[in-house]
Amino acid sequence: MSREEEITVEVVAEPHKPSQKVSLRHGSEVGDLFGKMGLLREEYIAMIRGRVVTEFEPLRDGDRVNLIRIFSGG
Amino acid sequence: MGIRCDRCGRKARYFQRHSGVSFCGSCFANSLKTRVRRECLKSGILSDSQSLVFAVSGGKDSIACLDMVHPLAEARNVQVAVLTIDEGIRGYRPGGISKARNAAKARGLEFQVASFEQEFGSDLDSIITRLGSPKKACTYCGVLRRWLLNKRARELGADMLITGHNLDDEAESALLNLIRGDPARLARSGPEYLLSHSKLVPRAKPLRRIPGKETLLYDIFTGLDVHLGSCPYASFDMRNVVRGFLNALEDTRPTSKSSFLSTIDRLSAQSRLLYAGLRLVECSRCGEPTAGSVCKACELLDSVGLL
Repeated sequence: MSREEEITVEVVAEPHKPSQKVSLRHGSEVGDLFGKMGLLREEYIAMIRGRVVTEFEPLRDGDRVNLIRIFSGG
Repeated sequence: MGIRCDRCGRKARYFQRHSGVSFCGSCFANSLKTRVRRECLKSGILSDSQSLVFAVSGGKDSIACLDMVHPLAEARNVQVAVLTIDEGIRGYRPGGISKARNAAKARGLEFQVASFEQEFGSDLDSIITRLGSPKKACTYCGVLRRWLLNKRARELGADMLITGHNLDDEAESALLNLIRGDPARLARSGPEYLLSHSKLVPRAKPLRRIPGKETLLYDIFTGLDVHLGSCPYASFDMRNVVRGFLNALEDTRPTSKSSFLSTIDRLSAQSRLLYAGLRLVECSRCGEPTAGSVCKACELLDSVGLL
């Protein structure tokens, strides 16, 4: 895959931990990001620009994705 | 662009994998309210009660439960109070209590906090210190919390105790009960108490068919202020392993948790016949209802020198 076909997104998965950069194929969706990171869709809610997004949301180069972990209890 | 809400055509915010339906935030919140209202009607919460006590920890589930069920109770002139248990967990519980208090105040409801320290003479952190290990923290916390919730709800005059247990909690508990290999536990896995007693406040779980992810989405879409911390003792619980397994199963086959719980409910109803002759009595030490001569709470308190 050439550089032109790649996008890079910044992922914040834990509130007090540094974000991480993840590279994906151009045209990838949030569900692909979960797959690449080995995360279960059942355990996280994804947010981009402060709004909840579905697993079918297209990702753009430079997107910052916040992942909220579903904690049990409460 | 993403996908569109199947109800109104606006941009979808949630794809419900177990139904294949896409929702915007507002249509999803309305759909959840309808499902919870149906569960309330089915379990008789609204028709059989005069006074409800909501067990509210301040977390995502109990606040969502209060937000959805309280208006239904209010419309039927059912009295409502909010009860929060302060187990005494440094760095975790105070945040939840503050959210629970705010939720009660915003709705003009009576709010009470019952603490382990006040009732048992020791908070959970100190009990863990006495035990020397946090491995059994959830066992002690769960048993003592249920004991205290029942006692205080009864003192508040409740004819039903409402808890925010969701589908994840229920499926995890059911699987844990199966793994423990105790048929009595399976019989107790159903939505209602297996046995009744004049001192046991019946409980209801309006969210028991709603996945934890959906209660948090409801909180976000409706702007509810909830406590999102995680308990420092939770990582020591066997429940964590079971949760990971069930989530992986649900990810591969959506509806797994729901189908599993339906099966357990049917088995639970069958196995209740095995315990038809069993009766609850008062614990010889504290007077609270129990199946044996001494209740589990007294047994645990005794084991750490608190009786």
